[in-house]
Amino acid sequence: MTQAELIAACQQEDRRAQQALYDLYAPLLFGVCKRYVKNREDAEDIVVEAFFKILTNIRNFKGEGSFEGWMRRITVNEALMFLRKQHNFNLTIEINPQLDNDTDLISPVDELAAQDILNLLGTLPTGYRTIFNLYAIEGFKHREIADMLGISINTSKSQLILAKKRLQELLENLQYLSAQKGRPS
Amino acid sequence: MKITRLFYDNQYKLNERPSPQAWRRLERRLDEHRRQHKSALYRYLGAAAAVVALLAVISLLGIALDQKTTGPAANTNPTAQLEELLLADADMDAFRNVELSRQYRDYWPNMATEGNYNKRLTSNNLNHINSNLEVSIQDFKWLEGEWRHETADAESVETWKRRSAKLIEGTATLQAEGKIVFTEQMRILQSEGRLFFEITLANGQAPVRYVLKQYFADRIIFENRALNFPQQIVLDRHSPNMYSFILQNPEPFGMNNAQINHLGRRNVINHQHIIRVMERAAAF
Repeated sequence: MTQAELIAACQQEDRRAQQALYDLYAPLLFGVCKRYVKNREDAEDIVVEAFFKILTNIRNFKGEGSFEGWMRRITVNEALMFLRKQHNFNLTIEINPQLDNDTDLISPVDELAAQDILNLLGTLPTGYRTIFNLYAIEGFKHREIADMLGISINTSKSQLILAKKRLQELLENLQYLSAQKGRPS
Repeated sequence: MKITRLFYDNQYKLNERPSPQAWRRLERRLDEHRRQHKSALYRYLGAAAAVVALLAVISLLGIALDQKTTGPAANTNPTAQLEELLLADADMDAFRNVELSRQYRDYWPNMATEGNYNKRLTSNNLNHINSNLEVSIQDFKWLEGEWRHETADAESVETWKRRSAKLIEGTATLQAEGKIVFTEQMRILQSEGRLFFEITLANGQAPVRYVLKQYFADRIIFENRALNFPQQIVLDRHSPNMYSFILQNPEPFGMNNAQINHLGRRNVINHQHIIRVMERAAAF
């Protein structure tokens, strides 16, 4: 069955097609959700809600753009709604004169294991993590992030810089720990 | 490697199948959704059937009464011929407004717009509208010129002209019986790195300013949540020579009679959307 046929069958509320769609895309969208929340159960709640919205609104997909992108956008929206219920995103700007330059910091490592990604993102405060996800992975601009989260552009920028600094420190520790493990006893 | 790139490139490693319970929960929700839809459909069909039955009874009563009619008048009028109903130009205008209103009503349940996978996310939820950092006055060049909207007894005219790299000005008038009954000045201006839509009414009130919240080539939204109504001004481009000027609130809003009377002179009022469709009369 092609993607177009699968979508058409889902639009007819064919349960087997809906399950096939879920089986095909749940791993990807669950991965998206895991980046936004700290625990797995919350990520599952979000992905279930996202798929419910996808399958009950699939008739609105006209086939003019990327279907995967459409589903991904719905999933990120659901993640943000989940976080918004828990946090009001009243983030404060930490006063630090070094925040004037937003340069992309260099990572000391070139590869990351899945658990490392989760651990690193999990150590970030919710605001840092959300803004880092939206900027670095989803590709939003600061003005867009500010509008979505109800914060100022400066807050978005400063939170991103602080998130990257924190991640760099953690990555340097990770590299140190990895080097320690590799040492012969 | 840059940190942002590192996470971007490795994000696929988080892909993982959720637990089996997740699908079961989703399936239960879909079943419940289907049940609710079916009972809503049955209620609708029941109501429709009741209306049809009522109309049938009324028709039968009408026929019965007609048969009873006697006297000189009953046989003198010739049987009226059925007219073929055609949409006149005025009807077409109303039809277009109603059709656009229906489209806007259907638009809001959409969860997200489609687009390139690698481009930014957009959401139709008005609580999180995205804006475009690169938008400038140049992006409103299409507005320049004269636009008109005609109703049965009045005509709206809008004239837009770019004044500088940071300002485009418009004048809107409502004309009835050859006289101008209403005027407002509009501006789209760039200030402090942001774009604003500003309206000044002719009654001397201070200008009201809306900030640009979203810019797409065919839909532009300005917003001011501090106002009662409208909180949003939406410009919907249908073609190079037609656009809709829409006043709305994201949430349902009840207008008083004075507002309805004032706005209804040059707009179609539908739920919380005030719409007038402007067609290009002349370009500068």
